[in-house]
Amino acid sequence: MDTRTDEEIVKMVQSGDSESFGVLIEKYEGKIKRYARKFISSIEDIQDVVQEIFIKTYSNIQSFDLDKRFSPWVYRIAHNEIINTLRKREKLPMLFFDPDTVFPHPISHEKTDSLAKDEETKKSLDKCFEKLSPKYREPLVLYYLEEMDYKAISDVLQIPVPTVGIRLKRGKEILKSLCDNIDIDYEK
Amino acid sequence: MKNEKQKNSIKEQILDKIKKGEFKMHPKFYFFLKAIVVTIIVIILIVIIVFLISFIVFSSENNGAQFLIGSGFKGILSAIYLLPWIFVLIVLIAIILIEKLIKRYKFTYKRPLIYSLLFIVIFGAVCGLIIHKTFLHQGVSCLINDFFYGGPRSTNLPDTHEGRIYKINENEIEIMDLNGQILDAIFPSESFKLKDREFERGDKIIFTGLRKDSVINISSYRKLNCGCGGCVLDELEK
Repeated sequence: MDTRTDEEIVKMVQSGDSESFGVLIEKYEGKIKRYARKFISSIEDIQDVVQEIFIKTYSNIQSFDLDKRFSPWVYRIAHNEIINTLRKREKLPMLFFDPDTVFPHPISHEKTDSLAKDEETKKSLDKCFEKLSPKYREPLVLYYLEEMDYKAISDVLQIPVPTVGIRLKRGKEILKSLCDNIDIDYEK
Repeated sequence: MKNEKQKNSIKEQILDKIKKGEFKMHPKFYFFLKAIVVTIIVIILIVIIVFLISFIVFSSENNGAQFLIGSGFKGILSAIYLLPWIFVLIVLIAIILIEKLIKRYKFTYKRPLIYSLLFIVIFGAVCGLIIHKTFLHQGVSCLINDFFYGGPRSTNLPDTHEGRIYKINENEIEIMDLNGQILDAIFPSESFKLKDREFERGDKIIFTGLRKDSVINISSYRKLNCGCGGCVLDELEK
């Protein structure tokens, strides 16, 4: 079991120890695959995307600032790669500016008042997330499944922290209505 | 091939590719150079924005657009027509490009975009106004009086006229408009202080008012900058 921190491993890779990059792949392969699976359905495509993510991580590793956390940085690369793949395949619209990111919003932190509620959202994510647009799906996945905080999500998606709160809130509402509709369909 | 790919783990495949040199780690210098290029592009775009904003102010002062803004609804429409829209569009594109280039940096994306947008606009406007005060455009317009400094004029605007003072009479002035036509401009009240010799022959003037044949009842006016040629009457003497 490697006890070094991600940042310490990155430092080794930056200084030319490419074998240490294998440790980073081991640590993140599962997480990145799980993340990609929430947006891409084909197993082959996921394999290709994940490989491309690690290739880009390695190519750009010298630009990583060792004073920052590695995890949001690698997820940022994953985000870009997944969005590019979705754009190519699903013709995802290209937005110059998202209205959510233009104007200031009060920070609306998700109320994690009960664990049951979180579990409920996690279950809903598994059941109904396919119909949710990537714009809302991504923060939900990062928050509930990858267990990132608002600041880290803000760094991954490169959006203001209050926007993360807005998207989580709206995402949960949309998800709930989507799940309700599915339940109604099942009942029928 | 497909089976082989599936057999090997991603880790093995990537480390194998690194060993074979199929892809390489970009050196630190590459990112430094990239940041320098982005910075230079942003600086160039800011210079373009500042220059064009100062030009837009200069142009709107010279063609009377600034004056027309305060002349009622029709005046506002005329001022909109007189704005050098192509340059306004270039300014907007430059602002969007800057936003695109800097939005990946923490100082931009951590705050709502409106803040960085406002900062660029306010910075551009303040610097543009300072440049405008330096008479840079006045000087440059004398050197190159082409399309850039020509701009739209008020010839086609309803109830808006531009010309040079041809003759000053007791209660009216004769104005030669941009088409070379002599118009009789009548002032409705004495408040315009015609007698105080506010006007000189050759002065450039923009005015609003209803026209009937060659007679115009002036409702508002402003003297314009005569430009690098000065308020000379050479053209009028012909």
